[in-house]
Amino acid sequence: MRKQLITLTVNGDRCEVAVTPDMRLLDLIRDELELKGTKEGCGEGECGACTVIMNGLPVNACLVLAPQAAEADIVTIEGLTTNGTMSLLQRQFLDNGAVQCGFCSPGMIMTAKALLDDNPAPSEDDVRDALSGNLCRCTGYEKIVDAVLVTAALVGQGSAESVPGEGGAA
Amino acid sequence: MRAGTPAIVTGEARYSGDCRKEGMLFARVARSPHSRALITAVSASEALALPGAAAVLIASDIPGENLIGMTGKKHQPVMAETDTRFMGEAVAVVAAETRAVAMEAARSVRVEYEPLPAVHSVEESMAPEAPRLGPEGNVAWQGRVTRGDFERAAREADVVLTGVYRTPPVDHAYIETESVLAEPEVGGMRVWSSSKNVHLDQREIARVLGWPKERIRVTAPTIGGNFGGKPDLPQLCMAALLCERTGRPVLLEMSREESLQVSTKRHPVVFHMTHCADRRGRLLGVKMEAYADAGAYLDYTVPVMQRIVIHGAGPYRVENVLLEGWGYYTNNPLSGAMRGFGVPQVTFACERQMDRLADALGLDPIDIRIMNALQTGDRTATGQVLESPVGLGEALNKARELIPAEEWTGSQEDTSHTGWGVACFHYGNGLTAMPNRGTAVVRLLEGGRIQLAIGSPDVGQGSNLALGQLAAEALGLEVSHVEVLSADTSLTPDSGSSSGTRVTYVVGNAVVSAARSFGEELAQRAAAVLGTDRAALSLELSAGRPVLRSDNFEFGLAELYEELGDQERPLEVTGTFDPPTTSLDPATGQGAPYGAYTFGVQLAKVSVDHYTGKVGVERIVSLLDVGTVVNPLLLRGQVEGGCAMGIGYALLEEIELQGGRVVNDNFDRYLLPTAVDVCDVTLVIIGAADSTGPYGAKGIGEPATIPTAAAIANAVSRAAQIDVRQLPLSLERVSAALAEREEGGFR
Repeated sequence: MRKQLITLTVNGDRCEVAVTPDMRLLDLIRDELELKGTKEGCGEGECGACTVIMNGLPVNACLVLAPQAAEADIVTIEGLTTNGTMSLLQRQFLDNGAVQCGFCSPGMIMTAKALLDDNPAPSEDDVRDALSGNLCRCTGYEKIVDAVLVTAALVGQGSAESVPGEGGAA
Repeated sequence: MRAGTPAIVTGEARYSGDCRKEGMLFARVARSPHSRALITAVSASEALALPGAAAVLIASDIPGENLIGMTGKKHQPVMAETDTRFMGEAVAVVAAETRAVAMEAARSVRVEYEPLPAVHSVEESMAPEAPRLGPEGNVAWQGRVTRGDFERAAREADVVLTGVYRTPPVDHAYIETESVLAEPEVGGMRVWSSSKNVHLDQREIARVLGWPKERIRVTAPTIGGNFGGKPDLPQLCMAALLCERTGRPVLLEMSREESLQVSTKRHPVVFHMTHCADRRGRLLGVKMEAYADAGAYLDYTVPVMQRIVIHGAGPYRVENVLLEGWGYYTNNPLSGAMRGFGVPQVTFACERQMDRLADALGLDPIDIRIMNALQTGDRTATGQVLESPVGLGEALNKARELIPAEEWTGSQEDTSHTGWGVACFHYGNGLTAMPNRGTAVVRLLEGGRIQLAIGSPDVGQGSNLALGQLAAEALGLEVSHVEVLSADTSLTPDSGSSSGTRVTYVVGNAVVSAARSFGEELAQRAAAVLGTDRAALSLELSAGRPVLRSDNFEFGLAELYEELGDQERPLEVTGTFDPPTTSLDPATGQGAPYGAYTFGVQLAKVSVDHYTGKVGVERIVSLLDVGTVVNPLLLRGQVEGGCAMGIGYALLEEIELQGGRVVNDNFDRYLLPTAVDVCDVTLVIIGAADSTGPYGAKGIGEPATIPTAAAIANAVSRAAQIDVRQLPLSLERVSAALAEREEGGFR
């Protein structure tokens, strides 16, 4: 199949990638850019494990064709860590017990980030609605909802400073 | 204390499908489109001719045995050779340079089939004219637990209540589908398996390859959920076979559609229950006939059916029981192990019976359970005396305090009914009525690091953390001083599987034993090195690091490691634990199948929409006797996750089969609970330390989900005045029941 060269921004870096018309954004991210944090759980946009942020909105990367991402600004889970420092949201997922097997976590965190970027003070219902496109089979969602609400509360209090990525197992 | 590791939330954690190796091939399985057929010819030439195709293997290419199984009984082929027995069964496997070519090659394997009449239900399998499906007929397993004289109890009872209950097949639906990477290593092979038992994987691959198992190293990378379901043994062995044939790394993944079609399911079961009681509500006898669809091969049907008959009378004191079970082969996807091993099914049937019995006698549903609840010193249905403290009665009393009596009666509003339901359960920890030794190793490594090694994988539930805590407690150190390594056949001992709610209880006891011996060994070695008295030394923390301390000096572990001779390194101690169980009498099922039991009560509050039949779960209260709590955050995680899975089982989930084909083979049609379908879960810890558990702890993995569907079914029955006999409580099923009630059919 004929390849075309597209340019896009992923986690702040400009990239040029040769893509085929049938390549999914998910394949571009995982196979071409080797960013394995974005997961595939169903391949049809039902589980949300492949959620990334595209031009500020959460999308299922399995439902976006790579050529559609030309000139787009993409943020994946790897983009939330800077210089080994994880974001407050990631830290809260750990501290609140929102992670078990973790396979849904990257997508869940990206959906939550998109929500908080858009609505810094969501209600619990807002959080549940926003996360309802992301499936988790381990946690029962309660701790995930807690993690997002705690993050929003901390940001609201102005304690949004990041913490080291390899923080101790306190 | 934190569950999970930073790598998981940063995206750095590697699951088996994330691994990429130099020269790696992508594999794909060619699967049977028939539920039952003879294979008359297979041709691989067209597939092999595709540019980029590297290998095609069929059953006759297998160098070792083409027979595998999750238990001691090896019954299923890796790939079908002469006949296929369920839709989607592997017939050939291909490897190619790209995923696209692998898919094309799998489609290009030419297989000629002669379809045969297939069997798709227990009823069809029982029929005299049914085709013979298993090696010894169509009964995969039959067995019983019997005690006392049920027939006499039935004659003497004031009330005899019968009921037929049905549960659906459901899928584990871990968000990570099955994925295996096999790569050549000097002298052998390394396999990355998303598994609950890497040592079993190693043995199965070795038999199929015809290799000594030492040549195969199996490691679990980060595991994306398990719930009893992974590995898929045929897939595991096919990846290894392709690696052996091509000498290259091979990644074999499954799509969600493949996973839902071919992975094992929770056994669908039909229960015929008879409960006998006196007029005060005291249970005199329980009779059960449980008929389960085993699917095409044996897999886990034996231990699941054993669990069903053992737990068949519920957590109640019943002198007269006749609990019988049968597993029947069909040409449906295999039934296997799924969180609860048959006990969620039998709990639904038993607990509906208890509620109906209470209604028949005009009793309160909690009263009737308190009257009959197992207590310390009672005998179970298998005649086992419960010597450890039993917290069930206390949990029921607490349940009554928590929910005001007026809420029990529910409320009827214009559009909906609300009400509470209750369900009790017990669950034996560990494998059933057989030795299932847990093994743990504690090592002193360079730099004075302490490593705990266990074979049982952390499947996401946090067992590495919980076991690390137990080791730290036994050593008198902090958990941060214990490095935990699990699930690698080269570096960790065979501790058995992460299943059967055995890790905390069975493996945990081995960990405590190993850690205690290790602490003693450290002190003895240090005493020898220092020429001092062992009794003068103790392992303690000094400025945050572990040291051996005497009255006048401290000796660091790094220094001790340096002082040890080469042959003494690494200083390593093994601990084991085998729960005190007996085999069961083959005729009566009497014996002591488990070393410990988890007990609990769950309350569920539901609303039932009068018009649509939609059930909403508003609140769950889970009262658990898990002995000593090892880690409150992990415990809560198990309970909340287990309740969500139970809500799915109660209301949403059912694998729909049409002629053996899974119709709802992705998450648009196989619906899982989402963040808007779950509810607040109140967790109440009851009871005392178990007398045999590590520091008194018992397991929670499976118990977390066991009572939820039963409690919801009882709540719906009570709130909407309908009589639920079948799961799931779909809109259609509930609205039909509501319509029937309107016509005056019920009560």
